[in-house]
Amino acid sequence: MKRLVAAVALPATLMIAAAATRPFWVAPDAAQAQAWLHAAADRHDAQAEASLARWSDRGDAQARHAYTVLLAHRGDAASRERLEKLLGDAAEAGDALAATQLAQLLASPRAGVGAGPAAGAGARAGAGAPPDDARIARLLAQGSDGHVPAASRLLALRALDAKSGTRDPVRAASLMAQAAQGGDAPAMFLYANMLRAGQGVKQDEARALALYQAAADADYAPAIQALAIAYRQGELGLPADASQSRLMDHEAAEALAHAAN
Amino acid sequence: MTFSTPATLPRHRALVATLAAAAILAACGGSKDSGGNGPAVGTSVSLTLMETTDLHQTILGYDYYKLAADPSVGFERTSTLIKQVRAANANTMLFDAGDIIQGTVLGDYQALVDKVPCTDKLAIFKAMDSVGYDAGTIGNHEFNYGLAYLGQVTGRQFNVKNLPAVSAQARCQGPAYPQVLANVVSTTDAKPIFDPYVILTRTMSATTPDGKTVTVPVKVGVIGFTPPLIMAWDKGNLDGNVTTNGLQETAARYIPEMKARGADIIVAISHGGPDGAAYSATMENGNLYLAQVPGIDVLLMGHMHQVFPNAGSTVAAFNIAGVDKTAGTVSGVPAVMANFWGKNLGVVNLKLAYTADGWAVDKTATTTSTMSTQNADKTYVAADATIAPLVQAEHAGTIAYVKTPIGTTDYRMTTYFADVGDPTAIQIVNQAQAAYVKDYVAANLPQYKNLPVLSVSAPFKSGFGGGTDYTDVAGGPLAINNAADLYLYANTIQAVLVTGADIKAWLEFAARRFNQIDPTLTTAQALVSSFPGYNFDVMDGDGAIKYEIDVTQPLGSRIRNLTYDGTAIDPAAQFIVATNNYRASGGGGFPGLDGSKTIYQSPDANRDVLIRYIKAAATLARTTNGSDRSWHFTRVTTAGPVQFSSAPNLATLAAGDGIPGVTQVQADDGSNLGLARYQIDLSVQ
Repeated sequence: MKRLVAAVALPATLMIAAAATRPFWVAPDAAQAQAWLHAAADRHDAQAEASLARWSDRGDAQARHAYTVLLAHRGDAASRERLEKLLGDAAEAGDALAATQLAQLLASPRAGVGAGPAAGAGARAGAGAPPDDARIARLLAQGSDGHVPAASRLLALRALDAKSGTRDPVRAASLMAQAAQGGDAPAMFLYANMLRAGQGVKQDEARALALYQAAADADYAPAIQALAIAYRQGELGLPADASQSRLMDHEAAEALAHAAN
Repeated sequence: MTFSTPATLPRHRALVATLAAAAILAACGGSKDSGGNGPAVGTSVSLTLMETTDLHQTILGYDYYKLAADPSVGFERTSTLIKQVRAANANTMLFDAGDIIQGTVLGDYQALVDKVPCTDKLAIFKAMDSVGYDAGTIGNHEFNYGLAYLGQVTGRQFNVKNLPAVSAQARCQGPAYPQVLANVVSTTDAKPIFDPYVILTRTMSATTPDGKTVTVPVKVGVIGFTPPLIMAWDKGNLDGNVTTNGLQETAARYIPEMKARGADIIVAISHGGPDGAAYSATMENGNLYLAQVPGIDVLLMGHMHQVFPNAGSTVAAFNIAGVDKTAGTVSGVPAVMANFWGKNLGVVNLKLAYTADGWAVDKTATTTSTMSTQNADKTYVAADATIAPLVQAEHAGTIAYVKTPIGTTDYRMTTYFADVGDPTAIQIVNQAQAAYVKDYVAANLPQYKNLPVLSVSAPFKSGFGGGTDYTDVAGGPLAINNAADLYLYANTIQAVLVTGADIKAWLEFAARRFNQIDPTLTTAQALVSSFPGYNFDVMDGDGAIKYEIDVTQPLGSRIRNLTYDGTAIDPAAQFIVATNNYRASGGGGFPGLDGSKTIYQSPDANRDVLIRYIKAAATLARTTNGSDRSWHFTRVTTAGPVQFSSAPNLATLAAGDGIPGVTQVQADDGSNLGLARYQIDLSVQ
């Protein structure tokens, strides 16, 4: 059901046609970049990867995007290091999306965080340098200023973090609203939660419902699940309707299956 | 990370596919009858087209998990609407827009459990054929069980790489109506795997300019489309066997051909909806652009599980330029979408006028609408009594399957007293989730292998709907429907990496389930707040985690003596918690749970994981699966009674489940919901 913003690329026939007709000195378009990406990722085509790296180094946006996808897909230490450099250079050059992606990369779990012996029960995952929090914050601010919705969402979550020392639910709500307005489905869902709870913003169940529905329309499973629960329980002004809840649950299962593929 | 991943593309797509011409497999051909044998210019035909879509093997109004009737769904009631339309109109045609064979337990039963034999027709097609369809298309879910099964149940022999040669394939029982699909092409021969279109000649009642009633032949061309994203959704089934083409390009190729072959009108059945994003050949809902292809007179849509037209719809796809949700047009073409599971019937009334150039649609006289199986007074139309007998065996087989034992339990598993600590229906869910995540971490996330794995689950059914709205699985054999009672929603498993401080905050939030109790009050106090039971997460960890909830304290200060393996939990220590995708993504608004702590997003449903765990355990015992009191209330003596509601006459059940001090004080709590009032002595917890 519903709309899915899937990362399905151009038909292979188009890619082949593009590859066959493009002189090597002409910068790649999206089709060419995708062709190289898939050749490198699926067939381990070293020449295709070299082409991506070369054009990426020259600052070509299409090639850089495809190359970042390739490196992120690989996930090994060398690829990660290369990816950090690539995104860092782009961010420094003013690319808000790259700044956001780099922030996400730096914040993503590595071999473990934290240090020192445990004072009580529990454990720590292992050694590893903690992420550079200040840098992450700067990068997200750059992304948010550049109207990247995911950056605004992540900044909002930081503003909600009790451990951050700068907890500010009102600012969080404002940033989350901005991200939701930008079409970010997780932000729609999270902002709906905030509206529902009156967290940092005046409680407004009608707006919360509309946002859940908008996120559900974008095939975001948690929002569909929220609607399934709301129908079952008669929440958010909806009539209690077990049958409609079951239908929503079915929709959620479908959205989850799509997301998993 | 938000990067897209590669390897979602079909590989090795043959360049020749764009060069080779697909065979034309129209059932009826021939040139337009424009000679002297045609009707008089000005002759008119009123033609009513009906649409079903997304039936998903929902034949009867029945919920197989609840083993109970559900009249809000089911083709047996759509059939009643179809017969009403036929009775009221001289010229009607019936079409289906796909997603037919999958989506209910019955669908899985016939595909995976007791596979429908080659010589037998799929249950849904038995029902549809009994009503009589003119044509239909193929939805994305038709590909879920693989091409071999799809070929079998549709009576096709696909010439694709992973199937035997066509000559070696049996031609099995398919539906009696033609199924058309133009945009899915075999990589073997570059031809569409279904007939791309069909041209149906129908004799229709017409009115001549002088008012006489005559019969005339009308050729109706029908072409079908499915979302190109099937290549991603069913990659495992389709990669290397078929490719998809864009809706617009495909239509632009075939529609002139259909016209040349005599089609008087063109009906496009597209299993999708409209989308205002820029056109691409791989977009999921390409109907805004499909309808722009010249020649399409009617668009029958599906896939979105929505009703169209619908003037009040807030669905984004129906509120874009080019879509008129009131008039029911997409890019100016009359269009309908008939919801799903047989809840609605799409209806397009066309007025055809015969001109010097042949039949033409009078767009000013065209109307689109949907009919609902639900009446204005919320009752439902009567079921067509002819449908149920057709699928009696399949229905009975599915019920038997749902009742098939997957294990046994030596104790009754319920949520009647989950609010006061009863673990009988929750511990088993937590055990299944934790075991699943532990296995995954051990095999795939070595960096976390030394971390404790905990699990949370909540009582999804906790009396909101009254005394029957609780999980209640009797001791004895356990079946699939019992697993659905133990785990209500279609969540998938996720694992989050949290700190001891996060766990404390998580449990503090869950403890909102309770009002703050003043121990000095002599009047009765209600224990349970309006905080929903489905958010009352109970954390468990094979007996290792223990905590108290002190309901005399304000919100945020109620969790006491939180220990792991008998030692106070270090706020900085790390834990993995198995939960579901809803909670991990921020559902319920728990502090810090916002999607950022997820270390594993499993594709597996919590319910399926539970079923597998029960099957592996074979026998569930109270001592090992239903008696771990991971939490209890902090002991306090209250001057007055502390009360809560649950189903009546179950105090002995609470005692048997290890919950002391529970007594029933009123058999009816006054809610008129079949609930009794209990009180709990907090001094003995």
